[in-house]
Amino acid sequence: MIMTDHAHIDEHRDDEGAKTGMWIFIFTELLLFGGLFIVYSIYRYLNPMAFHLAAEELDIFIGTANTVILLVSSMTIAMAVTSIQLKNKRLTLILMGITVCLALAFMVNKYFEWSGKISHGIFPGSEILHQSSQGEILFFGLYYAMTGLHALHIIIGVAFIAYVMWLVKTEDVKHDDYVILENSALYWHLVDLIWIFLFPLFYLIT
Amino acid sequence: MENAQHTHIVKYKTFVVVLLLLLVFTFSSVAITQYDLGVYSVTAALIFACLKSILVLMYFMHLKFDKKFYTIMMAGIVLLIVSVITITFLDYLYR
Amino acid sequence: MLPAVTGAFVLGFSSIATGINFIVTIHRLRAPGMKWMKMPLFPWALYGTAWIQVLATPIVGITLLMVVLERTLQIGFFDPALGGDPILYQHLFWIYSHPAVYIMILPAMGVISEIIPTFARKTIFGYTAIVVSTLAIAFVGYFVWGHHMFTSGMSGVALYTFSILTFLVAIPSAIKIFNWVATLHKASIDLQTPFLWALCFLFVFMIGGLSGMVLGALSANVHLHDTAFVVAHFHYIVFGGTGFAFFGALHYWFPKMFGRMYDKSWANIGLAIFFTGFNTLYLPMFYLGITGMPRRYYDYVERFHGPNIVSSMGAMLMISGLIIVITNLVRSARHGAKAGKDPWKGKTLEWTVDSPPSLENFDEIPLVTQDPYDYD
Repeated sequence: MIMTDHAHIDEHRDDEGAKTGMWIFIFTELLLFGGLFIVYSIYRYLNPMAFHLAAEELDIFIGTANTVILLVSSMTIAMAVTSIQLKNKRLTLILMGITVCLALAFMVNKYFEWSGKISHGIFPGSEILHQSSQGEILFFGLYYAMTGLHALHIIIGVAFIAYVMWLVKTEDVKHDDYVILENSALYWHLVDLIWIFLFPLFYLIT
Repeated sequence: MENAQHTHIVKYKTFVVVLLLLLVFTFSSVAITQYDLGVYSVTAALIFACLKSILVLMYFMHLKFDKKFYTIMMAGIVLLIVSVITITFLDYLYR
Repeated sequence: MLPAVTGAFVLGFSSIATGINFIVTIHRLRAPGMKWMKMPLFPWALYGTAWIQVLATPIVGITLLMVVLERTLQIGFFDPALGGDPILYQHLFWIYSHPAVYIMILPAMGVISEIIPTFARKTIFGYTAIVVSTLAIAFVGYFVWGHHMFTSGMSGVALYTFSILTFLVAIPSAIKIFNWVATLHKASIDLQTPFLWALCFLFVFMIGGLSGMVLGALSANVHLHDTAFVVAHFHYIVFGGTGFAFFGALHYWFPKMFGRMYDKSWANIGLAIFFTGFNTLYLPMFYLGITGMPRRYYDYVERFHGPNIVSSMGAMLMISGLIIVITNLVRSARHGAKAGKDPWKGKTLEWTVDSPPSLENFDEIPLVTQDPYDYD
């Protein structure tokens, strides 16, 4: 096999390799949030009462709703992989669209949560927080940092899925060539996984 | 060099069942906050979180149907994070 | 300070991207017939390194992000006034930074594992042991970070746990030294420049490694932490270890990269001067550290003058050697004698292709049937 043809280089396609690479990237994201979880666990251990009290300021209903939203969106994007395998382009686009809509709903909820807190004067560097106990300052610092970083990943995930939707529409992604759809789904599940841990650690320690 | 996709197709129904289980675990974890478990409140919350994660990993993320080494790598990562947290706690627990 | 932190954060992405790249490449793009245990030891070293890059770098990434958030948004992660613990910062910093030094040394060890069999004309002693110890160093290296924090105020339990683990992680490194030396037993040694760099590596890396053991002992660490002894240790192990292996690699693969041979006399002269200068520069620092000179000081008391002057002279000697080495390489790249495919009669795959290699390296994908260092 003589490789004098540049086009040959572009023909190298390795779906298994693409998936392996995506998984390793997911590991890096897990380690990234893992660092914040390390900080959370230490400060939680050192300030149990303050964390408990601070958590009561959060709205369990919105938190649970957001959890349900993400879980459903995880299901829909997983289903999108099945539908493309079954050559159902229309259903694939519908399922991916639902995933994006649910993600946006999550962001809307988050917006109301954050603006609610901020209007009550609970945000990093605020006067009210300055007068609270150290544990409470830490709790809310971690709350904003972790849910903020998570929200950033939701935005990235939405962009990724939207891009892949375009590829599905133009049939660059189809039933025999869809690893990028799988990878975007993996990324979305990662975002869901992180929230699966954020939810109890911030909302359910009351 | 493999070009072929793995052809295993997960049924829609499987995903729906997994979602229902996930919702059950979610509502259970909320319900359990009604009880005062003291120190163990974290444990209870985390147990449900772990169960949910395993479902998401194995079914939504397809680990159950992929080559075993992905699951092994994932387990390794979890072990690594847990070990690092544990060793860090050796400092704070015994100060 | 924020631009520097942001820069480091961005740099981390390159580390992670390379790590992912190398892991997937080694998993998926080995030549037909090259099973895992037929892979040469340099890619094995890169494989271990890649995993560390992938798994450790995100931790420093998030730590830097927390520092940025602390500075800009007053989120009190590590500020005691806001309830934070500065020692937690140290923990997070070193959870990355210790594995990071294994990122520095593992590829170097891989290079030595390539050079020694070629110039000993003998297969490497204990291939499997070197593979296992490479992975062991990568793995155990995650759990020793606290040895940078012995005097920070950690608990007693943390202190002795980290000390024990530190001694544990030395074992796989030592195994490699044994294997490299054992390869030389009854070997037909060809004293070429890359091999001489490798021999010097063995010498300086041993000193660096053993001084690390001294630092890993809790009671000694109390006296030696933040002294010139630490400076000597890490210069021996990184400049000595990685640096020497790097120059050895430059000379080893030089004919392959440039299709020309370097001037051997000047290369060896440069090495001799560099090696002498290197040791003159760093050896006194052990003594300075033990007798109490702190690190990170630009000025020092009268009694430290002597060894510091010796050090400085060593630096000048070392730089002269370095200039000779580099000048030789740069000139030879353009004017050196032409080199063929395999000037060292090596057995690994790179010696079967042209010097320099063609665009895709292998015009025909080879079929691998033999072990990598099959010199019989």
